[in-house]
Amino acid sequence: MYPKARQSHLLVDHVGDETIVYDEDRQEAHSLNRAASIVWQNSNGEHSVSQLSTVLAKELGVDANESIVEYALEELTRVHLIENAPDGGEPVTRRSALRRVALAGAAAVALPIVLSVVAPTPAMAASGGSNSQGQDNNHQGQNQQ
Amino acid sequence: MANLDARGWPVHVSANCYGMLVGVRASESSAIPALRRVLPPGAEPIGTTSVDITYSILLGRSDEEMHIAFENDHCIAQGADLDTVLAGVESALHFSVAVGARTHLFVHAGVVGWKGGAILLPGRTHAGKSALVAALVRAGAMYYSDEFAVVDDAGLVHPFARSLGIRDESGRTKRVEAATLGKVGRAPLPVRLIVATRHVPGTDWQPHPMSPGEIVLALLENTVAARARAGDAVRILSRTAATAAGLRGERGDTGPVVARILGTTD
Repeated sequence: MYPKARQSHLLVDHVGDETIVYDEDRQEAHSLNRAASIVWQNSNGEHSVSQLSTVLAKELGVDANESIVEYALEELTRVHLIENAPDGGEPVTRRSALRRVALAGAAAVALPIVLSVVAPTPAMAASGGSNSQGQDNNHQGQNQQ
Repeated sequence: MANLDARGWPVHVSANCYGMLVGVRASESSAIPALRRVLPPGAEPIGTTSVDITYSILLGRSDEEMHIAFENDHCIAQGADLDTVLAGVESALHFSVAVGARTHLFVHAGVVGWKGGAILLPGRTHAGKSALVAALVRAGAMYYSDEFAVVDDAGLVHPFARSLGIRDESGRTKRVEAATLGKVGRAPLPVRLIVATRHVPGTDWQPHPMSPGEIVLALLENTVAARARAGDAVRILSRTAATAAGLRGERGDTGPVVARILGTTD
């Protein structure tokens, strides 16, 4: 598989080492941490998972690990940022990815994290409708929708 | 609108509100102070009657006649109590400006100034923003807004200092003049801290730090024109988040929270 990042109808900006992606088709916004950003930005349809793993390892200074890349691709696919979805193998769970990161002796920085929110309509932004403000839970790797 | 336009309107006030042109008119000249009062903070008077949106207030001429307010040709408030009708106009007008502003971005948030920086409390209605803002102002912070963080292109927050709407135990909102609580800020400020919280009685506030990316999302999901001005929102909020710290977590009473919030930015 040669993952290809979606480019159309996306607004992209950067803050610190994170990438903010606004999906104009779905009116959703995503925050990719550094590991997820590296995988997404290098998913140009010409790099294999193995090659992406090498790039990620070099950028983060950790051991190469394809499972981490596969987990990142699943997260990115879940939020529609990869054009060609992973080809139906066993999905890599967050727990599994965390375990592999730990086994590789890498810091948590190596774990790809994608956070998401739905952009509100004007009425939603001003109302008491549901949102995640103040919820004292861990959104890491979870879609907040 | 044609029927309303055909009436005589002895009083008409027009203003540029953050790039949106707003007209407010009334059927009695005695209403001029009331018309100025409903305009949002930062509104700049203009000389034209050609505007983006018009609010018309028909004043009842006797105790039996109701006051009626329109947004363009839609009735938005009516009643015997003029203050209640004007509150309806103010609320609708400010919301329209928040949606239609072209020069600034409106984020639903309480704002105070502290030691040269702004503290933003993003959250929707019933999140307890006003009570926390009031407590911060009583503790020495400067009041900027209990409703909207008005952010310019450079990421600076401008005052939107209307009176605070604080709910009592019965859920009724009482308007409190900010000057009775403490100082009111005048100058635009860079954002130093974003606190995403909501009031949950009995909760011990144990906030988690937010990354800059999380801060952008926390602000974006409270940005009134997030969809209509997505590009501006992402760019401006990313700029805002780049220099700010962020905390997220449900809170209990304001007392212990205020000291920790102000301590964070010392």
